[in-house]
Amino acid sequence: MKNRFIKLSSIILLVIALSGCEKWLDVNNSPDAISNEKIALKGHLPALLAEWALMGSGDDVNASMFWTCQRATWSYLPGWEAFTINATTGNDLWNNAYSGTLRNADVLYKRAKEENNPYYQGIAALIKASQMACLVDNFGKVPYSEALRYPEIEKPKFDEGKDVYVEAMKLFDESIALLSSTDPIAGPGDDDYVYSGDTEKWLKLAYSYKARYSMRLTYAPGYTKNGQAQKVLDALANGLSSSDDDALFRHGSGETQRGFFGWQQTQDYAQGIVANVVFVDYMKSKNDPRVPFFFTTVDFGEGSEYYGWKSGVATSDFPYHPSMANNVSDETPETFMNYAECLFLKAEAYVLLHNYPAAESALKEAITVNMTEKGVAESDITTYLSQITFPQSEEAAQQMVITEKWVASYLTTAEPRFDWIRTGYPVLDFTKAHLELANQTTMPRRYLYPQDAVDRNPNTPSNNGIDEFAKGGVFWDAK
Amino acid sequence: MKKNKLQCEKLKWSRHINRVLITIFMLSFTLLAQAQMTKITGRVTDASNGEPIAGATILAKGTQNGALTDIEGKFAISVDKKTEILVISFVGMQSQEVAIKGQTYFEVSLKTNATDIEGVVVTALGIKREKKALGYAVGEVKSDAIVNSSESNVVTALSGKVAGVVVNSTSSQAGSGANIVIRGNSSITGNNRPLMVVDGVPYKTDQFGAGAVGGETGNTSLDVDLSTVESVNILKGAAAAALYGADAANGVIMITTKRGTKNMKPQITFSESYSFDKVIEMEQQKLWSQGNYDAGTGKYVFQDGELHPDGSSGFTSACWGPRITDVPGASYFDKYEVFQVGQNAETSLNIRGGSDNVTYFTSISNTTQQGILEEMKLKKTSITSNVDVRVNDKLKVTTGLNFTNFVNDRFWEGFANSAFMNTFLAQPTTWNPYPVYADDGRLRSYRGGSRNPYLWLKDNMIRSIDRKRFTPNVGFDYQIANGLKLTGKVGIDFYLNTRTDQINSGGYDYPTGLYDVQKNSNFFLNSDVVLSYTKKISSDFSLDALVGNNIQNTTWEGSSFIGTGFVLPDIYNKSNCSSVKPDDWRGQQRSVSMYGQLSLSYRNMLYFTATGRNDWTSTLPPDARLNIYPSTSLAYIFSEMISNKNVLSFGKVSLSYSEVGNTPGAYTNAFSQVNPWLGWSGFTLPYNGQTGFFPSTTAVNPNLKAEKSKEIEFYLDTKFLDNRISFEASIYKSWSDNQIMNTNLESSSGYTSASMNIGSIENRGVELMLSGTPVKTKDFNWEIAFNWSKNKSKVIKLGLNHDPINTGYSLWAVEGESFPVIYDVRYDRDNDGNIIIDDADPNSGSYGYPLKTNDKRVIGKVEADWLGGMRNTVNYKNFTLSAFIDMRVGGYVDNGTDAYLKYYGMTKATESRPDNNLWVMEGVKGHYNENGDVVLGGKNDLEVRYDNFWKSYTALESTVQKSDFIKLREVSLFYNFPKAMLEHTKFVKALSLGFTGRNLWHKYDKGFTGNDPEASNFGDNSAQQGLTWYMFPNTKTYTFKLSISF
Repeated sequence: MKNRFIKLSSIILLVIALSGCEKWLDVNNSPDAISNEKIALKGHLPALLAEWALMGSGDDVNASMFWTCQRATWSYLPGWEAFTINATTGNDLWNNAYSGTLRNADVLYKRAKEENNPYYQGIAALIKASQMACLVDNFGKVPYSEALRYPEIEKPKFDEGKDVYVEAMKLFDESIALLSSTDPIAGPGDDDYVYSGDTEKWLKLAYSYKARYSMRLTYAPGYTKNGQAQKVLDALANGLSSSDDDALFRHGSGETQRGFFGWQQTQDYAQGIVANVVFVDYMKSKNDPRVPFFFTTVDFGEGSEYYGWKSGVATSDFPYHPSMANNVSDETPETFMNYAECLFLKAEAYVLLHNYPAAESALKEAITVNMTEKGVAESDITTYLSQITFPQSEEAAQQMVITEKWVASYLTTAEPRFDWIRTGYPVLDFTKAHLELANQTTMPRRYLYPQDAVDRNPNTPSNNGIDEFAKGGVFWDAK
Repeated sequence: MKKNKLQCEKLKWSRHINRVLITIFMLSFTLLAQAQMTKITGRVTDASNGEPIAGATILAKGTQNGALTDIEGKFAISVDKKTEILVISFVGMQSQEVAIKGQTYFEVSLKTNATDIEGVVVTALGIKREKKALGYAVGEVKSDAIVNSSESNVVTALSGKVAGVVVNSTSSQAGSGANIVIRGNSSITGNNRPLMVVDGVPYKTDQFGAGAVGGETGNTSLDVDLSTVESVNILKGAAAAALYGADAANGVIMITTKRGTKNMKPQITFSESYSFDKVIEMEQQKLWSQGNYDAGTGKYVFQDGELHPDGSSGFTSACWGPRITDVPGASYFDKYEVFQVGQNAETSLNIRGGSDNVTYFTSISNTTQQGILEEMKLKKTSITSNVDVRVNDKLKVTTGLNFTNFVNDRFWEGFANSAFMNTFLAQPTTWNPYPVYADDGRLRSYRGGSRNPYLWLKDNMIRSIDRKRFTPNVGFDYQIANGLKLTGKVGIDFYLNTRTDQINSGGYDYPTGLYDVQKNSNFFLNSDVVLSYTKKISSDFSLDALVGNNIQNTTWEGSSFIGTGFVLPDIYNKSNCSSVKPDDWRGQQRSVSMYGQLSLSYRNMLYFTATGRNDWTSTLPPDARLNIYPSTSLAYIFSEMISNKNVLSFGKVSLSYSEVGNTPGAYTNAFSQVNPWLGWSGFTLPYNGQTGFFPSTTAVNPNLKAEKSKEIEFYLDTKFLDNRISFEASIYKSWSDNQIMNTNLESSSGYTSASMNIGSIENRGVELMLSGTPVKTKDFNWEIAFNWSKNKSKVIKLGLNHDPINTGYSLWAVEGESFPVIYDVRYDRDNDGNIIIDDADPNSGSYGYPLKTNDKRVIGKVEADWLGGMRNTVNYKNFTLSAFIDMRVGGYVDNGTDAYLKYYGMTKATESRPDNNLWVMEGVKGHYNENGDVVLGGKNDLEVRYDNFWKSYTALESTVQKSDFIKLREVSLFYNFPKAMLEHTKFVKALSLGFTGRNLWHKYDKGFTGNDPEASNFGDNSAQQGLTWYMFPNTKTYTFKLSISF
């Protein structure tokens, strides 16, 4: 009896000791780390906006400028700039999008939903949708339905690009619905680097994004040119309405505040990034008044000029430093979307609907907005516009609109790259722009599946047999 | 009544007579008996050397009647007729019985008892066990071997002394740590350091920063005062260390400090030693001058490294100039003149003794060292006090106190532009660094800037380490009942460490100065309580059991600031810095454990031991906190079955199996919200007064478990010819299959990495120790001891994708290979091993130079094929001469210094350059066609520039060198003054004088050009052993020592 009592009490003591143990051992959260499972909504947005601006979009603009012959390499031979890409080229974009912007937009979306805040939720939905579409535009097939679900799913399967686009469009609509809310709950304020909390502007932006991605689908199987063009116009009716609505991520100066373009200037190879001869010559041939605003001059000793370069040409052939991008500094912002782009979208939509007068009017307005933003004098704008004879056929008109858009988009977004793949405009002679071209007739129409995904996810389609120059890699590349 | 009176008188008389008769009888009986007590005398000696044994016991068998031998071994005992046998015994000797048979004088010679000579060793948790009862190998190093090594770091003092233990002294600067690995690396990304335990309390061996840029900051294991060390036992295998559970994965170094002795008059020992360090020059080319090759003229052109009055300059860091002998006025400048003879004085004073109830050992020692540069300093003061009190016959209380103050001034070692040896070794041969400043006040530099000149660094740069450490402990020993004992010990390890890096403004690197201060404090508490039980179950079986509890709590704190932008020179203070970046951190870690050991022995011949330990640690998720580490071992003393012990005096075999663990560091698997990474641009949050957080993209793994290693060990311990020869062998295999690795995840899962139990590594090896006394006479003794070991590590699995893992610079963990390996792009070779020389396009820059592989390949492993050591000790009368040689074969190092210097033509390998700078490389011509096939073109005959190869076309393998060595680590000669001589002084009990030479001779592989194949910039991080950049040269050390006891 005594034995049993001893046994029982020792077991009880042990159990008590062990359970006390558990608490005493719960010290694995570093006092220097933020271990809160939930933080206030405004503690998320600044980081998400910074990621959206800097990660994946900076290099995208850079690639777009090289591939659409706006930039050239001067003191070094071009590599990826002249279309030589491999499976590692897309690694950064993929990793930054999935484990950064897309994943964090998803986190904010869920948190905002928990807190019943339609404004944060709407902004998160917009960013998420734009990232999804961006990923499809670059890679074709991407994980979506099984993505972002670690630890339940470690290796997501890949979904068809067209299906992911459908989901993206739904999210744009959801974003619009949420941002249209009149809920008195407080939305973002100073934590909103883009619009300082003006949710009406976010709503316009959501409509404009919907327009941009609706335009992508004009030639995609299962969609019609006219149907998409109309959707674009419908969306733009509620989209950005002036330059004040431009969605930009503004920067300060110095190491910790500068933007992508400012950072590029601090790199060893900065002096090697110059204006491409194709772009400079085209603008000079049109007497484009933006030339002095876009490019630096080259001092020949007796006079100066704007001189573009062909990538890879030996520098000994020309003893001076070619023109570089002008007005670029630490403060140069990243552009998510601007009013000019909306007007160009409007112009193209009218072209596709064969409403040429409306198209011409939109085009001229677009060019005016862009030139005004750059600082071109009103008279010069008028002179430039007066020489435009707007074509009255679809292809020619589309060519004119897209070509003007290409010029205006310099140093803003990566749209020219996707426009070229989608429409074939502007017409570019790559052989004039770069030496060492990996392909004479087309830029890469997609990235290969990134090496990191190939290495770590067996669901990644194989890159063997994928031709990055072949049409149709991305489902909407079907003109 | 007359008749009655007579009868009465008769009666009285007879009583009287009776009494007399009885007395006479008794007296005679006594006399007879006296005559029956025989006095027996004799002498007892030691059979091995004839020396008398004092204090041996002579016992009349079957009685309590005994006597002891005196100092001359003589005894006298009175025994009665009944006593037939005398039993003579002494501890450690085999008892002898002699039949008296009428003899009155006996000369008895006792033989040593082989099984008892093994003695007692300290095993895990301070538990003393008979060595013969252990089922596993334990390495022992006695105090003499440590103290006489004249090392100041207890870890380096163990080098080469125990098979299976690999010690690399990482840097020759005083105050440097050392890397110690026991039986191979068992953790790929985690900790490979053995646990150090002092007097039963775990002792922190922390390092605060080490690396290729600035080198290490020493290690807190340097706080151990070697003069207080009684013995060091190394628990090599898992079975030995199993009682330590999670901390035991890499073995345990158990240090026991000296304690007092019961009933001993106070003995005072004073010792003083002086050491001198001389620099050993490193190999570099000395024939070619500063300059460059001019392709136009086809000649080497000399440059003087100076600024010329016309504005031109001879600045160049290259040494591709003409032969020094061909340049008028140029000569080789011996830069080694900057080094001085380093000096080190070590003083220690201790007092040891005890009464019946209290024993004590108190010591104070001081080391003052000046290194090979005047500014290199070390000052270490240590106070130790161990006092034990026997309160009553049941309770004993032990206390230990140690305080150490450690101050060290040293220089950076690595490829930082302010590392002394960087400009020193890269300085062109003909350039004179004096004067330090030119007439116009400019700081002279042979290349016009970038690196800080070493002479300037000597006066303007220093790394200072200041540490105070306090390790008190209190224990008790309580005998509850017969065979049942309760012991406990609580210990604290507390240190405060400040590391300061100072660089003055006005140099070329950090031109605005650097003042970088980091403070670390660490408080560690350890408590052990053990209940043990011993019982002889039957005449054949004996049982030893214990259960115990351990609690550990570590808290640490640190703060730092980095100040740059000095306003005024020479002022090292926050207020003089225009930019100060502060940081601070804290942390905590805890664990609770239960453990037990059960030992059964059968007739002192067969021993079975089983142990188990449960750990609950705070660093694992709650479900995985509980980990059980069992072990079992079986030892069989087979020599007990053999009656004739003349040849084999002792033989034991044992087999053990155990599981030990390794837990992740604190906070490695914890949830946190962080500022997301925003790319290479430098843009950071907060921005515009706002900041934002998202969960870290390193996922928390809720299923993370402790790493577990398993080990099987077979051990043989034999002694021959009356213990003249001893041979031990161990064979072991250990493996772990759930290494914690930070595995890359695919980003579309939403996370980039997570800690997972996904790697596995295996080690197998053999350890042999052979020692013997070939010559043993009264005056002359020669002992020789060999140890040899081989460990083969192999990475079995890495991560989900089998990606090789980079453990730092060129060192990687690669599946199927030893760990770590040097892994990098290599020269492309044909099937016969010839290097393929590019013959594709004569206009291309690489024409005539080797082709390289696209992917990384294994260049060499860091681990040695085998290592061995040999110690010879000769005793002649009172002289002792001993020499220790250490050898290692197979293994490679990445000589980062040469990888930098080859560019400038400063390496030894470039000494044999062609006079016209043109050569044809060994190999076959070849190139790849469009299909990716190699097209070979016959033996290479393409002549190319020699210097361009070293500048642009080498692969890493050209500067990977073999780390083989033979080192004469120690030679020492000691004279112990004989007792006879000392008796005259009345109070001096012992006096010895000695000399030790360290590192007097070495032989490295002829291709090795670094300072020491053991060196490393990474201190005690064994996963980065084998990498060196710009380290200080090694030294030869001569030490003179005097030791006197009162």
